[in-house]
Amino acid sequence: MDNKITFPELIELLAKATNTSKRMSELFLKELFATISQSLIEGESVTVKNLGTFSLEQVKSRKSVSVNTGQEVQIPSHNKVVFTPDKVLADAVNQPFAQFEPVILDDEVTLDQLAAIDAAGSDSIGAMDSIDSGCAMGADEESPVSAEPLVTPPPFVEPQTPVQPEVPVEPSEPSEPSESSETSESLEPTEDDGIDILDIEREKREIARKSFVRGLAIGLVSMLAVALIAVAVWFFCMRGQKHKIVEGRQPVEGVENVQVPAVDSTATQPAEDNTPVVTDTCTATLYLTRMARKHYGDKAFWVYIYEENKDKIDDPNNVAPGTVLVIPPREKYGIDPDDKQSVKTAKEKAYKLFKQFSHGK
Amino acid sequence: MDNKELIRQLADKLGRSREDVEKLLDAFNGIVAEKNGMLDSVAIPGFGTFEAKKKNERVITNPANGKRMLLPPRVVAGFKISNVLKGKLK
Repeated sequence: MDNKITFPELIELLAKATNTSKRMSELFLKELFATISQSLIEGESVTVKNLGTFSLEQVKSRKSVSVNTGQEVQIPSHNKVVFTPDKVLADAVNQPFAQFEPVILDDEVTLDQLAAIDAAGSDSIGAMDSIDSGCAMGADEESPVSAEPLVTPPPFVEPQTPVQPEVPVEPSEPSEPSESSETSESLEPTEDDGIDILDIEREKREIARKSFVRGLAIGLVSMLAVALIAVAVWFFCMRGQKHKIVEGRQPVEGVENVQVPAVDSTATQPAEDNTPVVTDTCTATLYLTRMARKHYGDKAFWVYIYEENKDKIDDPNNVAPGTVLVIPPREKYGIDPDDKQSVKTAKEKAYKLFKQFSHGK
Repeated sequence: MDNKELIRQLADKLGRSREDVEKLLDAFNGIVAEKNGMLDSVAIPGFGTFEAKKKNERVITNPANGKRMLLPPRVVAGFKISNVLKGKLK
């Protein structure tokens, strides 16, 4: 972040990406910008495909005041270059935020509330996070759901729907009593490696959005979802008496979010012999990079999650919420967040993928 | 000058085929997009810097109906011209 890629670095990157010599790529870059500059000096605008347009704009002569002497000076008319990024570049750069759309705010949502979330991000995200980690690597959290609704701290967060009063036979031994594990879960602070600004914003928007979805509509939807999950659980438990249900893949109750319901139930799957397969479910706020950071400690390793699930993912930039992904074990691809080489290989892979998909657009 | 013309001129000057030049140009665009996506800037001496800026989310009010909207944060690609080229253009 905020690094400056210098010219020699750029030459090296370009040579590597195209398998040409450094000399050639240096020559190319110099000629490229000499040509663009020349064209601009001649007063012609230049369009570079997938990058943008450099155009000239005439700035009119105007009066100003010299900072040093306080005297009036006349700034002569001159040209300035206006760069308009191409849509391809603009989209690629904005990719982390591409999923967001402007939201009309309710009257009840005040700026103070939004600011409060910024300040004490970790608290209010608790509810969100319980979904995330719930459908994620839950070896110890497969407790059945308590019948009473959770009380979430912030008033404007959607109250969680009471779920599955008729919890059926519990197949594997629950590690803890349900209620305590459930509450501790929701109070748990967010990510181990701290919340960066990006995350906070994501949560904030999530909460802002949720405040609208409230009401009759969500009531109906969540009731439907509850019924669905209950049926799914019942169905799996019937099967579970023959097979064993994988530990930690219990359906999670978090029906508070419209995109999440019914997804969790699909996460339940029959056991695969000895090693439990770790899976994770994509949501609007949990996608490849964030998943990789959660499971491996570095987001660069998302490429391996993608490779493992190639058949389910059309475009790694745009994974549909609700997709259940298999998280490959670390050994399989030599994943080690502390090993620079390993991170580097992953990044190179990511770059190749990135090129592949940005060309496809 | 459009993209075609640019590639033609570059191919002439470098003595390489258009396909080669196109490939190099594509790769360069890819690098800029990737680095800018990480909020890194790419500096070209004597020309300028390709830099992306993060814009925070903000609340706007539609003056027509008074509705408030929360605009999402975004990253915007930009270009800052170098003083050398700026001087030449005056």
